[in-house]
Amino acid sequence: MLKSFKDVLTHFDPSWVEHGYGTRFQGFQNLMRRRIRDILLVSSLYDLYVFEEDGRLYDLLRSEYQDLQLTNTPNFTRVSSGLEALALAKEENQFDLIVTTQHIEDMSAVTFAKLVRQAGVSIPIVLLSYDNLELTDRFQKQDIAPFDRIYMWQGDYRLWIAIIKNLEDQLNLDHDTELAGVQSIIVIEDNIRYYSWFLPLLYREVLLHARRLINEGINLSHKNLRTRARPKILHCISYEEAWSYFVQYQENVLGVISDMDFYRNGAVDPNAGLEFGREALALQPDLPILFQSQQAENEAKARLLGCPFLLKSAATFYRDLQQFMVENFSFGDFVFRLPDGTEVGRACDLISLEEQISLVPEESIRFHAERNHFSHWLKARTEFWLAHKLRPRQVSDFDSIEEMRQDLITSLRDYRKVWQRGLMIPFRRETFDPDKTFASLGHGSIGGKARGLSFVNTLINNYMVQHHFPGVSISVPPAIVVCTDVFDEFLAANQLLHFALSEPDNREILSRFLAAAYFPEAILHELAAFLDLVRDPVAVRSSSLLEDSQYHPFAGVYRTYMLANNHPDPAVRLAELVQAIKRVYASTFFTGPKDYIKATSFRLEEEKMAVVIQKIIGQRHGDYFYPDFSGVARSFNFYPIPPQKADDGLVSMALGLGKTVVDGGACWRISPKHPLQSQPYNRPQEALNAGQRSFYALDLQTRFLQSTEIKDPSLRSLDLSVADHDGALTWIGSTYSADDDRIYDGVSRNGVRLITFSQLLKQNRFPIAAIADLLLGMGAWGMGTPVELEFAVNLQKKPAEFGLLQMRPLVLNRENAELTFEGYNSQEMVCHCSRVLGHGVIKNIHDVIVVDREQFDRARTQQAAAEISQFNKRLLEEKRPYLLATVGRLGSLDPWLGIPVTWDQISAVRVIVETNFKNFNVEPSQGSHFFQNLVSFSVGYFTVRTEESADHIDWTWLLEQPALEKKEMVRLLRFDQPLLVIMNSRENKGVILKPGITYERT
Amino acid sequence: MNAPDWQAETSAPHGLQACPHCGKPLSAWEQVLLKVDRALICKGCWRRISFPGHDGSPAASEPSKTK
Amino acid sequence: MSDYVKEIMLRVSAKNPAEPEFHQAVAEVAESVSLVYDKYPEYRSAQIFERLIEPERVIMFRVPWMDDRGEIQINRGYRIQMNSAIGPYKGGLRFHPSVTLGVLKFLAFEQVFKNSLTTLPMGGAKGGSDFDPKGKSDNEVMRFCQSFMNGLFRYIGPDTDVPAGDIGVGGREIGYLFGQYKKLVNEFTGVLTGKGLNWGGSLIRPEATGYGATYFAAEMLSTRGETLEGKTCLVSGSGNVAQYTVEKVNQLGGKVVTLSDSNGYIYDEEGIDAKKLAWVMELKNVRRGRIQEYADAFKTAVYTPLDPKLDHNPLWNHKAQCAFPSATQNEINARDARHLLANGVYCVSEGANMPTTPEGVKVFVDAGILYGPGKAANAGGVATSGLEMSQNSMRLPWTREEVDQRLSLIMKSIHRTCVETADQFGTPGNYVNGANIGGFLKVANAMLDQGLV
Repeated sequence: MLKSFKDVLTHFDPSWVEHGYGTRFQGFQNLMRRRIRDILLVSSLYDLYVFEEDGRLYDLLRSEYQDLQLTNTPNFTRVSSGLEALALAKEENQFDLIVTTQHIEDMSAVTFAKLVRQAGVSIPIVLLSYDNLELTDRFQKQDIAPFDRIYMWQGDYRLWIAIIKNLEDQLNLDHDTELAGVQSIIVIEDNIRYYSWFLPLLYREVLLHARRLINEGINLSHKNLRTRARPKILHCISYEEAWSYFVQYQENVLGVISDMDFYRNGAVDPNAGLEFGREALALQPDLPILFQSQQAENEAKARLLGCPFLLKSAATFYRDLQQFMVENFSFGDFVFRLPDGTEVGRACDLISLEEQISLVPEESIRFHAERNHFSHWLKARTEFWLAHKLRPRQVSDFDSIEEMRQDLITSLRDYRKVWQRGLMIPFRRETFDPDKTFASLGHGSIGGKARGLSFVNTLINNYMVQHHFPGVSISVPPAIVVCTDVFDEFLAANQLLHFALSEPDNREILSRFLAAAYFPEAILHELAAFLDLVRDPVAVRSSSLLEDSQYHPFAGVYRTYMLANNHPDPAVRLAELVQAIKRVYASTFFTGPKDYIKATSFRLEEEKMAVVIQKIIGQRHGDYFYPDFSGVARSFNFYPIPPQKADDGLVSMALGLGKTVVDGGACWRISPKHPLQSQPYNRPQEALNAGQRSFYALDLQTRFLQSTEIKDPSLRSLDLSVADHDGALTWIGSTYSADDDRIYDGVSRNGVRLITFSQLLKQNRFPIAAIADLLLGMGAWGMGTPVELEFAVNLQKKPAEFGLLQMRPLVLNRENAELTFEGYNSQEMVCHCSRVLGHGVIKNIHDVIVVDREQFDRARTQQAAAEISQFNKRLLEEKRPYLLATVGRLGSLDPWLGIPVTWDQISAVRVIVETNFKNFNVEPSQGSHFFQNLVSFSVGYFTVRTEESADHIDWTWLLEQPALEKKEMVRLLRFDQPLLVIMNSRENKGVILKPGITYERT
Repeated sequence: MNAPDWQAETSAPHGLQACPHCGKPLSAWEQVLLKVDRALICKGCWRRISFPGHDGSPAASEPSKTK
Repeated sequence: MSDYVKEIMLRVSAKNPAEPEFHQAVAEVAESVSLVYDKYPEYRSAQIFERLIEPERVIMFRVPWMDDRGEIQINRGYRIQMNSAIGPYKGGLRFHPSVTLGVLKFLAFEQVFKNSLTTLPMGGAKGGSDFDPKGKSDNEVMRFCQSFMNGLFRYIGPDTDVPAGDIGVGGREIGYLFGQYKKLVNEFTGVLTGKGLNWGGSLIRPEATGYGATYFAAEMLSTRGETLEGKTCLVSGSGNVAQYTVEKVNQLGGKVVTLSDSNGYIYDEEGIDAKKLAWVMELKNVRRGRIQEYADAFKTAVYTPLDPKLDHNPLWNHKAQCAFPSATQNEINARDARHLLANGVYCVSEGANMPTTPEGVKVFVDAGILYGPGKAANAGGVATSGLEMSQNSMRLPWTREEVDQRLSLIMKSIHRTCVETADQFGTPGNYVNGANIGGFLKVANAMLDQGLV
């Protein structure tokens, strides 16, 4: 069972307190769980007609709900007879509430209610009486017993809302108060007519207040959910009822609105209210109590207690009620006063509260703190966590009021920081924390990349992922975003749009953009302020509107520029930053993006560019700046080598900046579930050849302004030896010894260095596999599709830094994601296979290079290799991709085992099919020799083992086909219709279909 | 470079590794969801898992609402 | 080929069906052996050949091990101890999923003669397992090696059988195997070769083949009273063998003008001197670059990319006296051979395995040039294993110079064997015959001496 809030206060469980209520919207989701969704209305048709106001009840309710931004409009089922209602009520779990009038066909309402109770049904029953003459203003106990409540219908459909909400409040009272400390307002009123009028009014106020809070600057996603934390209304009709509520929920009673005379000890007591007030104030001297009464003389009683009084019939009743609630229930500004009542300040939100606390006189601080006014106000605004934090502060806890003041300010500030960590807020110099914040400049959209980053940032903070791994800090590096309106303004003021759209020469576009004189002044100021706070290297990245489209992730289409940001003259730094922004703007119109967009359904005119300016993760090493390593993690692996599975995902990593991996360069790949599994190399030499030999770093000496090139002038490609010298290979390097033909872990011995991440993985110096696994899970959960994320790591820092640089959906075309092989018969297949690497559908292969199985001579595989190489050259020149069907292993070290080609000799291949020899079972190569290239060029790889599985290849058909060109052992076939290749790496299965068979999705 | 003086810990202190109803293992992210939200729907059996109490009592569970 | 030998070949095919590589290996030896049989009938009556093609012992054993997930894996281990007439069994271990008894048998058969030719006391063997080291973690490889040695250790020893590395068995695996052996037997001996330098390995390992081929060439030239001094040499490839061939040729006063890789070759008329060689070593060994860059770095060189449409390799079409094919199999065909001859080449020393096609070999042999087949010329690599064993037995590691010197002496011996044998059998100057027969004779004679065992 959940811990009670009280326990939390004493035991201070960090996970609850740090996090439970204030910082995540999910916490609120647990409130108001029990809802009234289905109402059984037992009434005559005429009653319904009355309620429905000419048939509009449902719609009216809906619009009222919408207006108040409530959800879940309830459903009504109306019956007119008690018996029928009884039958329905007995059906389990169907209704949450029964509302009955006094005009049931076949029995009285009281009888009906009693029958319902006798039947053991415990659903709440409410009596809705709409005729004044039927009721006395008070009622006898035995009459009301089976009813949970009685209301009088006075023509206002809003009563329904009060009925429903009041019931919901009751149902959720215990749970919500315990869970979060949700506040309650106790209303003591036993006059049916009156409270039937009053409660709807009160509810409306409370709901409007809750809605007002929402619109204050915090995340929109909290909006609906925060209403669940609104104060509840506890409606009581007797002293005992009210007192028992008060005692039970004392700490969470926001205030009391009470009549003066009502039932006490079984009889009407004219001083019941007074007594109640006295007792309550004795327990809680600062409890706000409002008395209301028909009789003006009751005002004196209220004065005795020092409480305000409202005359029920007063013309200004409503306004006065509102005022009371605003002042006492903290439904409005926090008003700072001196003990004598003088107002000395006002705060309307958390930021101004913090400001005022630092300004107002000491006496005011003491005054409010002693009475827990801060807590109350915060609770009324559903800032429970903060209220709790500020609560148990007695002045005696501090050495001085000043200290207390500082403590309050610190608490507010820390809280705000916690909030802001997960949010994108408008950039303000005063509130920007260069280590944490995410802020926007200007108006318009923040663009796809920034949105993705902001989303990830929110997830990380709301789910406390940041410190999930000890010794590691996971975060999105702080950034600001220049929104798209700035782009629009820039283009318009410099009259660049038409030009850019039509100009084909990228260099022309760049030089015009760089020369453009106008740049929005306000943004310049803010950028300067930003640069004042951030003196580290930053990356200036594109974040366009179209960039996070689920089907076209636009990866690598636009530009990124890196700035050393270290010039002593701030004007130069600003100029560099502005120039980088202009360059990104210019890149929107380069031929690359133009071509890319042509292939989508978007138009370039629709595209707008926001710019992300983000701290670069890295360390300084002399004149260079680079991270210990960086990489890309994907939640889907197209080339899983057993025991890897496609769904395990894949992490590719390299020393230095991430460009190495993103550009498809040599890197180290691990499966998050099997990080120690070695790479698919046969010999140490292969590891050397295929491994990373150089890395990217930021050149801190770059003269950015002087460059006119399109590519980023700040990036350098450096040899591994530089990193070795910098000491950056300690955890990720290994050494190859030629003498011993062996790779040794680490860099303690002499020899050729290579990047293997050996000690990092073996000693788990940094839990990269576990982090990737967690974040890929988070990303896929958050985005609802497999994702790809870019990251960079600094090991040297304490705690070690893991920076998430980007997250975007992994494009699996709908076609590709739903690959199926059903519905093809074996006649239609050239081949089907259960060991396939690669994923997708290939429809453009017309050419097949096939080794003639009959002519093939194992003693002369070199000849076969030469023949294949010649065909490859021909098809390369003709720009025709092809399928290669071979016997034995391809690229084998041992010419007895297969055809020893090198990648260059088969460079135009799209799909490779390896099969057995006739009577010699060769273990397939699984593409090991070409693995890096297979992956880089997305080549499909079939390994057909007819002896051991149900795999099949139709050699007869292949060798029957007329050959376009024939050599001794190898032939070239060409078809008019393409062959169809379907590969599903999730199941490692694939088929190749004969020309002319079309792909049909079932 | 000094050797690290900590061990990476990846699951919650009272980490639940699998669904108590059907035994389906929870992924790392699902464990985080459970710890933070205090409740999670198992994708194997579709029943709700509640985060265990701090006295170490086994996870409570509620059948999902049939309505 | 004599009828008798033909008959044997038929029998081999019948008894070992579907093993064409074994047939071919046997056929090769049989070709040379024909000459022996024709001249000296005693080998026939002792049925030496029939005995040679049957391994002395074949050991097959179970190798169970546990992978990182705690699951049990079972592989099969083999050791084919082919022939120990002239020394303890010697041959590599191969861990590869394609390993079967048949594959190992042909490798073991070839090993007997390779080892014999080195003139060192080494018999022939081969072994391995169908284990696939690819994709396995270090710990898994270690556990496998330990289990493998548990099965093998009873049958090996410094004076019995000394395995070495091969495909899938590199320095790492030798290390694990050796560690386990030592633990089981409680002795530190030279039971494996290919050990780490720190614990019994020999220097000069990477250089051995290249140096050896050069020494062999020098020996061949000496039969005509010449040396490598002042000779222009063509070298193919750019790996260890080629690199160290260049180094030794330079040391002996020659000049190398070509190097190549899979993309193309460079021709440097000035010659690749020590400085340029150092640059190439850095390029290939450290930076893993392409030989094309040589032409960018040194303006005296010309780079020609590979053209697969050609039916010859233009690298062999330059003026020179010596050629060292050190790249791969079948890189010199008949046309290339003729080009070489036309350009004045009269000394060919094969650093690679079978770099010349049979037609090419015929061209060389018919022309009567100094043609040193790989079997003899590249035996330097095999010889170093033997040198490691020697150092282990002495418990004294030699310096580089000492090893180099020994290597040079061994190449001289090999050369002498080839020449003398070729003479003896009426084909003087035919190193192919000399190598084949020489290797065979040593083993055959020992078998004759040691009785029917």
